[in-house]
Amino acid sequence: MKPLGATVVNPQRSSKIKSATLAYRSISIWLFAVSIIFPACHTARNVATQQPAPPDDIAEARRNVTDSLNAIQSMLNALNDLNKVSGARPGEISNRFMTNVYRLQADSFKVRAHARAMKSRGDAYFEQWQVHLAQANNPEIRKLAGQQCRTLQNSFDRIQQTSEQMREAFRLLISDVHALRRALENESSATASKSTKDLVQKAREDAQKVRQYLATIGRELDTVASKLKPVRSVAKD
Amino acid sequence: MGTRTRKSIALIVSICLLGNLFAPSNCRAQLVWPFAPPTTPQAQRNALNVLHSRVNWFRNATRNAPNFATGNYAMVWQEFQQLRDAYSAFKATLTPDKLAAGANELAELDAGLDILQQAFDEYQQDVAAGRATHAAFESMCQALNEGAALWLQELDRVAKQLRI
Repeated sequence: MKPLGATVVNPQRSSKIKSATLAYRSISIWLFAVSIIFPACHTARNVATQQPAPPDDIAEARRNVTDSLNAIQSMLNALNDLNKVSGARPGEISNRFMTNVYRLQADSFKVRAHARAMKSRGDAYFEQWQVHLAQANNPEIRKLAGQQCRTLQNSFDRIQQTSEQMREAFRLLISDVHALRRALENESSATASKSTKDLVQKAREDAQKVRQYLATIGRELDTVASKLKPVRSVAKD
Repeated sequence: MGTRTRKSIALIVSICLLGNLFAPSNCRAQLVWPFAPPTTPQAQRNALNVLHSRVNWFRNATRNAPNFATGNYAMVWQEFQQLRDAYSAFKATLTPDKLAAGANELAELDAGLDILQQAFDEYQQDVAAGRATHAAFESMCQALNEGAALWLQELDRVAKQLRI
C-alpha cells in the first residue's frame, strides 16, 4: 500500500527532468559568462571610439619657443640699456630690468619644463610625438609622417640635443640675472660699479646664447612643420 | 531542479545582463584591488578637484605670506608640499592607459613642480648672498605665484587631453 501523498516516479520522466535541468544549468552558466565578458568588450569599444584627438606637439612647442624668445629679447634690451649707462643710472632702467626678471622666469616656464621632460623621458619623449603624428586626424599628415619618418627623427634628435644646451644656458642666465638684481639692490650709489658692469656683461652673453639655442629649436620645429604640411593641388585652368 | 530554483537563476542572469547593458561606466569591467587607489573617472575628477584647490591654496599663500611677520616661509613651503602630495594622489588615480597616453605631459608637470621648487633654493641663495630677506621673500612668492598659475594652465590642458 502506498503512503498517503506519495507520487509515483516514472523513470522516463525522471531522465527528461534531469536532462532539462542540465540544459538550464549550462544555459545559465553561459549567460553568466556572457554577462561578464560583454562589458569588457563594451569598454574596449568605448575606448576606441572616445579616443581624443592627439595634441599638436609641434605647434605647442613652437608657441613656447616664441614666448621665450620674446622674453629673452626683452631682457636683452633691458640689459643693453643697463650697459649703455655711463654715469648715474636712472631708476626706470633698473625697474625695467627687475620687471624683466619676472617676465623671463614666467614666459620661459613652459619651455624649461618641456626641456626637463625631454631629458627625463629621453627618446620616449619624441617616440610619443611620432605616435601622435601617426594618430593625426588628417590622413595626409599621417601619410607624410610615415614617409618623412627618417627626416623627422633627425630633426627631433637635433631638438633634443639643443634643448639640453638651452636648459643649461637658461639655468646660468637665471642665476646671472638674480646676481645682478642683488647687486643693483645693494648698490649704495646710482653709478654702476665695475663688478656690476661685469655682471651685466655676463648676463648679456648668456642671454645671447639662450636666444641662439631657442632660435635653432624654432628653426628645427619650423622644418618639421613644413615637412608635415599637406601639399595643396593647384587648380589647373 | 524545482521551478522556483530555475526561476531564480533566470532572474539573477537577467539582472546581470540588464545591469551590464545599461551601465555606461567603462570601469565596471575592471577588477578593483582592495588596497590600490580607485582609478574610476569619478575618482580622477575628485583628485583633480582636490589638486585644483591645492594650487589655489598655494597661490593664496604666496600672495598673503609676505604680509606675515613670522613663519611665512614655512607656510609657503608646507603649502607647496601639500600641492606635490595632491599631484601624486591625482597621478595615482590614472589608469595605465592614461598614464601612457599623457606620459610627456605628466613629465612636463613633474618638471614644472621641480622648477617651482627651485624658487625656494634661489631664495636661500639670495639671503645667503646678502639680499634683504623681505625683498628676497617677495621675489620668491611672486615667481611661485606666476609659475603656479602657468602650471595650473598646463594641468587643465592635460586633464582635457586625457578626458578627465
